[in-house]
Amino acid sequence: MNATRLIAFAVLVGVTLAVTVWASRRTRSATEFFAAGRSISGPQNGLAIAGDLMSAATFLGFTGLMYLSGFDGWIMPSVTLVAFVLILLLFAERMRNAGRFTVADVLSFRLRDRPVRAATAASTVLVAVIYLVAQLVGAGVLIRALTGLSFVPAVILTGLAMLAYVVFGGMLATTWVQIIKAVLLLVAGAALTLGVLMRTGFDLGLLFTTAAANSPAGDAFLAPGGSGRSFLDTVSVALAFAIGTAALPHILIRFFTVPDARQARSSAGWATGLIGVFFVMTAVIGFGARALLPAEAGPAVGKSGNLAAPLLAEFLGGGPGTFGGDLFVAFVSAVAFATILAVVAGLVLSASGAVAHDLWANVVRRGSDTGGETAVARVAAAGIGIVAIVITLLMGPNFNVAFLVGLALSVAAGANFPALLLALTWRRFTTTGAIAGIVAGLVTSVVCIVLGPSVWPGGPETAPYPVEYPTLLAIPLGFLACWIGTLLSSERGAQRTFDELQVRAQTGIGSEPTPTTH
Amino acid sequence: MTRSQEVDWTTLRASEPFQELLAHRSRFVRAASTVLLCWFVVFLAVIGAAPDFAGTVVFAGLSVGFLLGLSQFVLAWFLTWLYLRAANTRFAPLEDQVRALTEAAATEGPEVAR
Repeated sequence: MNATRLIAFAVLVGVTLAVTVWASRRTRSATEFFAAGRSISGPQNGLAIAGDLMSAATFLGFTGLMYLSGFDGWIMPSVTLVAFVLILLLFAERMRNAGRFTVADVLSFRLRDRPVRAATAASTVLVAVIYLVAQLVGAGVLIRALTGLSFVPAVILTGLAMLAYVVFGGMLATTWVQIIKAVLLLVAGAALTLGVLMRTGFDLGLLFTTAAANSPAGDAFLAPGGSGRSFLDTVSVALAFAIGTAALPHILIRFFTVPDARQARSSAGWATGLIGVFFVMTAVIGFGARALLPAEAGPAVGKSGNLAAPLLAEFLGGGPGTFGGDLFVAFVSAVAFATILAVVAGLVLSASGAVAHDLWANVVRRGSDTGGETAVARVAAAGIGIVAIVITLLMGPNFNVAFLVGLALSVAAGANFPALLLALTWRRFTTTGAIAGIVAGLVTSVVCIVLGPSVWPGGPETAPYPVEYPTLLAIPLGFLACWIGTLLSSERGAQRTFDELQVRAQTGIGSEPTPTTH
Repeated sequence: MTRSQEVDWTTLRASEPFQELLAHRSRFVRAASTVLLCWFVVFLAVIGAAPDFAGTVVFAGLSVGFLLGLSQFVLAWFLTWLYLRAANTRFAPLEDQVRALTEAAATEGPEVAR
């Protein structure tokens, strides 16, 4: 075990738990638990949103992919900002103006409350749990590689910290853990970028040509095709990151934490700026790792390339065994750990909102007293977290998590995105259309994954659906089902309340106020 | 939450400032989304249809594909800046005008508002 890294991890958990204790004293009402009392400012929320997206998968995963396959690794970061412009243009202000705690609030405004909440809550919980398992498996493997701690205790410790943040500190603790992590990650990214640029004399040409020369692919390293992915795979992955990210519930609920629509759009603007800067830095880090790390580092980086960034940190700090190298790699590893903790906390919170606010308060106990919503949310958070931890432990460290991320993004893109967009913009849209779209997006995603190369028992070559991510089919089918379902039904109420939703969403009249006291 | 019955949403929606707000914002959102998604499609189309062209190094080791990827960031930042500017200078005053209509209606009594 590595003492420096374990100490860095312990300091981090200590700081975040202190934040949780502080936040728990300010978290009593439902508005405080789900929406941090709507007290988060635009720039703070922008950092937190950036934090939600800058997961271990993007920091370690994207840099690793660029180390391994060059240009192909650059496609995913390039298209992700499309999602954030879509969020700003279509969802950010409207969510804040028309919703309270969950995505379903916005849909149920004009559609029939119970069915639409049940369907949206189901897809929210599914997205959250799948994503959660993917993150927890990644956390266990990463912590094992970085500290020597074995998989089972690593997953349990991560899971317990995550549960502590959410159950006791609610959205306030989750937000501040996210902000701390985003700042740390930006600092780590900037330090690595600066280190790479100093080693290459701030000469980008030298950086990229050395990277290409050091790679087995040579000049082809800077051209498409390095990952061996088919074009259909590339398009499906790009659609997942560009459209699916825009409809991830744990990102959309962040817009409920700000006081008004102005702060909502400002937070989307900050997020776009920060994520963009960070992703451009990942390119320097990923290509820099290829240019600077000696060829012997190849096996240590691993098949997924996840350890490219930590190994680069060790190299820039002075090399293995030196104090500087040890310190820098401990810092980068602790930041990667912080990233996982913050992201899983946000996921648990979004799922607990769907269970407590949508299913329990508005479907099961509709119309009756909902005073216990916060208590139910805490129990739901604990339950969902424990289920995800157990699934993760059963799957084990060798479980391929890549397709889980694809499934979660595909459900978001195919089930959530069409229904949410059409509810906000199409007067004729009906409950039947929404349910049809959500079910179609969900079923298509699951079926394509099962018939796809990652899961199909006959092996990747014989898989009936030859593409890893289902988005290419799930998004069009989601929209088509929304459209057909709407044409086959008629809903007077949905059209009348469209006027109300539109005025509220566009102007913020009658939106949830910011409580003045804590 | 403010109860729906206090405000006549259909009248408010038909009001002049709201229609203007809706027209301006919808036009902006449609134009910006179209540009954004078209450039996204161009990026993928070049990768798929002309991988050799995408791999051509333009300068300083930067390939056409890499620069096209980088241009996605620049476009996203530019559209974000444009939208924030339009929202703060053009849409926000119109939102205030619509909100003023509901407050005027409220002081005249619930019958007028309904």
